[in-house]
Amino acid sequence: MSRYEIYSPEGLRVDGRRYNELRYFKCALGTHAHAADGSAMVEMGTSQVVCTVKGPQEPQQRSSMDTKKAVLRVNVHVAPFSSITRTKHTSNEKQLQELSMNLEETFADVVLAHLAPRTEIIVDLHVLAQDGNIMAGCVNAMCLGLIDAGVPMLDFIASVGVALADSVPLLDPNHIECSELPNLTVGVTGKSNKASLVIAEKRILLDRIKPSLDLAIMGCKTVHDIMDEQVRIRLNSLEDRIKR
Amino acid sequence: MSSSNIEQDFLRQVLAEGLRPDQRSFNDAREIEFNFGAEYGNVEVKLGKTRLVVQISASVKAPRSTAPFEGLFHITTDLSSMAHPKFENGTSNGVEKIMVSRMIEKSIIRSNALDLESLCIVAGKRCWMIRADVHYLNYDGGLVDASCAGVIAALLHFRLPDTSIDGENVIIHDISERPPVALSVLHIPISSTWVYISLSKDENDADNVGDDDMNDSDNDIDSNDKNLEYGIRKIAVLDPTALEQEISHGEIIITANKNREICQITKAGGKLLSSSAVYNYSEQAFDRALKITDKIQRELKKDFEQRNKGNLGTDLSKNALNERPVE
Amino acid sequence: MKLSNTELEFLRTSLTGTPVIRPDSRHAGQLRPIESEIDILPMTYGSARVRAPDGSDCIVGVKAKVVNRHDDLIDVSVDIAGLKDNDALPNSLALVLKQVLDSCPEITNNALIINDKYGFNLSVDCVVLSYSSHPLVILSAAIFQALKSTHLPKQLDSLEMDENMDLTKTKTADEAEIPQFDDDWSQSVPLCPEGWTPPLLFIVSAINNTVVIDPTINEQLVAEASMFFTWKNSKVSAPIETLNTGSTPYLGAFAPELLLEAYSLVENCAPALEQSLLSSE
Repeated sequence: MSRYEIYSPEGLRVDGRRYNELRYFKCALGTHAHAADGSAMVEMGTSQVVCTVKGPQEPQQRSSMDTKKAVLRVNVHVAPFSSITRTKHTSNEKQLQELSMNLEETFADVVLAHLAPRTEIIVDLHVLAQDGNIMAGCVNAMCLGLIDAGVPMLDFIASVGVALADSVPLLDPNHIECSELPNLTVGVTGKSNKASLVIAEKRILLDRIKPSLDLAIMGCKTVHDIMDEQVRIRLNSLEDRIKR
Repeated sequence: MSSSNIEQDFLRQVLAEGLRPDQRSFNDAREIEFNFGAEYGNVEVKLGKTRLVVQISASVKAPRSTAPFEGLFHITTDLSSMAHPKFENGTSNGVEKIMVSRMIEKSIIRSNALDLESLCIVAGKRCWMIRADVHYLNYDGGLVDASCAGVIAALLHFRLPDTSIDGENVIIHDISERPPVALSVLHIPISSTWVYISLSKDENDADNVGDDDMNDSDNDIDSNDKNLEYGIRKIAVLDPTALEQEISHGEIIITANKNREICQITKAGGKLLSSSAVYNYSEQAFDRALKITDKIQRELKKDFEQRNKGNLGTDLSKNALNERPVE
Repeated sequence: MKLSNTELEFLRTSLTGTPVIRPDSRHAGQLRPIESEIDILPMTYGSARVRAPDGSDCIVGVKAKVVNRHDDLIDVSVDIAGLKDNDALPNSLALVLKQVLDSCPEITNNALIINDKYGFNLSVDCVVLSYSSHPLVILSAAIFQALKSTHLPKQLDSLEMDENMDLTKTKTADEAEIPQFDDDWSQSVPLCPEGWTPPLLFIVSAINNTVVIDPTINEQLVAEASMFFTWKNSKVSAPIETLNTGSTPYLGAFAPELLLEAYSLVENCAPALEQSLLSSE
């Protein structure tokens, strides 16, 4: 039995949100302008992910070069202080490897890699604070990081998670909801309203899949709009600098 | 190691005409076969030319201090060059290896297919450790589907020696003494894999990139022909062979059981899917799960009937506890 | 970026001339400007982020938990983006930083020990997002800031609690020692004692017979030897060690008179850095 009332009869969640409310979403581009070619930071509630992108650049190892397209490499680092109890993560943990592989594959669709053959793009994601699933934060941060680095892309990928409390899908779950409920992470490309990324774990009834996905896609749309606005702000600030 | 350009081009051409080299339709899976071995928990799985052997073994261990009431369950996968030269040790092909073991883990362990609490003997002191070793004999795609079905079939086939507690001591009864007990398998997760293959750009469609191509109908699986994304035609193929896997970009793996539960979805990249398309895939995965679950249960029944021919209840010559050398 | 031999030679000549000319127009005893933020992470007891103009960027988070007091009280870990966990650099940095913090009785004895049986275990975790020159200096500045911002929950006075309890009931020794903490975070106490500042580390490089403080990556390339100095309690103190910056295959050494000069460089600029870090709060 759960210690928390995950979804009250009045329709409130543990942190007082309604089922379709996102947590406070904040993002910024160029947060580490001197450190890398592109950088971004995303905060979803208390989750915090920093992304730095280096490249397209000459590959450090010749063996990892592709003569037809740029190679996208993603490293995910989870800081030991990111969770409530301190845990040290090593980069060769299977879960982190799987996460970075999923990110590579998701972005392979939108990054126009064939425009920069024989190069590599290195994406470092640092999870500084995790509250709930880290996948959505990583996708959003990586998307903004790549945009900030000027990597040619077809579109945004915005991502958000959904947890299922019996029949009610809860948007953008926090860590209590994530640990108690089956949850899925969805990434939507641009304004297509279609998912390019779907990751689900734990058992979900088949008939609940569609309403959960619909809610997640709606949430992604909001996230997309916020990110789009930030990209425009960054673009304008760069333009101003050029004019001056 | 990899196939030639000619082979790949041929396959793309054939697929563009709506055919597959092995005469299946895009949404057809290969027939899966189970052969149970003489020992409990030994099963050989054949999925087309893909072949693998799963062996379950059990030993008594101390439970983890964080979960004193739970037994232990490990799955090891041994994807070596025996299956295919491309899995040679030390080469950069670690991606598929990690993916396969993670997918099996997610489908079976994380979905709680095996009731770990039933493996407890004395709380906090003794529990069973169940190990599933998956050995790949030949590779022709469909690793995740075949291994998931193999591991779960082997778990269902396995028999654990009965135990009783005498004061401080745990007695493990030999199979000749007491009939061994089946593992408590809570549900039967079955995985289905589709891969996405981008067919060469159609000249006519290349002009209207970003047009209304994205708003096409929702019944993805059924109308593969009209699926264009940024001017590229993408098709989904169920249960890919090695060659189909090689030319694919992105996949969707859904694990379902016969209770209409989705244990796991993994889809990164590939094609853009609307929510109803994902639902359609899930529905198909569920149908396939029903079929394979049925097949596993039929085969198991057949096997146990064979075993119990002498009407002794169990085959006394076999020891249920498959010995493993001490690590 | 690799420099050509000509460029290296030019750099060496300009650094060894009189007056010393450094590529970024600093004088020999001048530090690079750094930028810092504190309390940036919600999940930690104290955190800081420090950036340097060369793109070096690091984040430090401090967490604490109650352990048996005879266990190690301070843990330091360093994670550098792009380097493997078993790489020499992060591990040696973590060792040096742990050594420095362990030798601060102001933290270990005063703040971390709760009673005879229990103490706080302080985990100082450093994440280096990027670096080009040796990350030790900015790491020490970030740890300085993070420790300054660290607060620990207030321990409830056992006497206070006893008033509400049944005084006739005698408690076992074990029970009496289990520390109780105030839930109210506004009551939390700072880790660092009033007026005390955590240690700072400085790197000094020797090129021929000149010494420069806080070398850039290119300056380190031409340096024969580099050393780091610890600044603690308003004086230079141990550990002072030579540092392998990778410019030479062997560890270079300082001539005695250069060592004295390096010593005075640190003495000159450390108080200013300390002051500016403190005032940024």
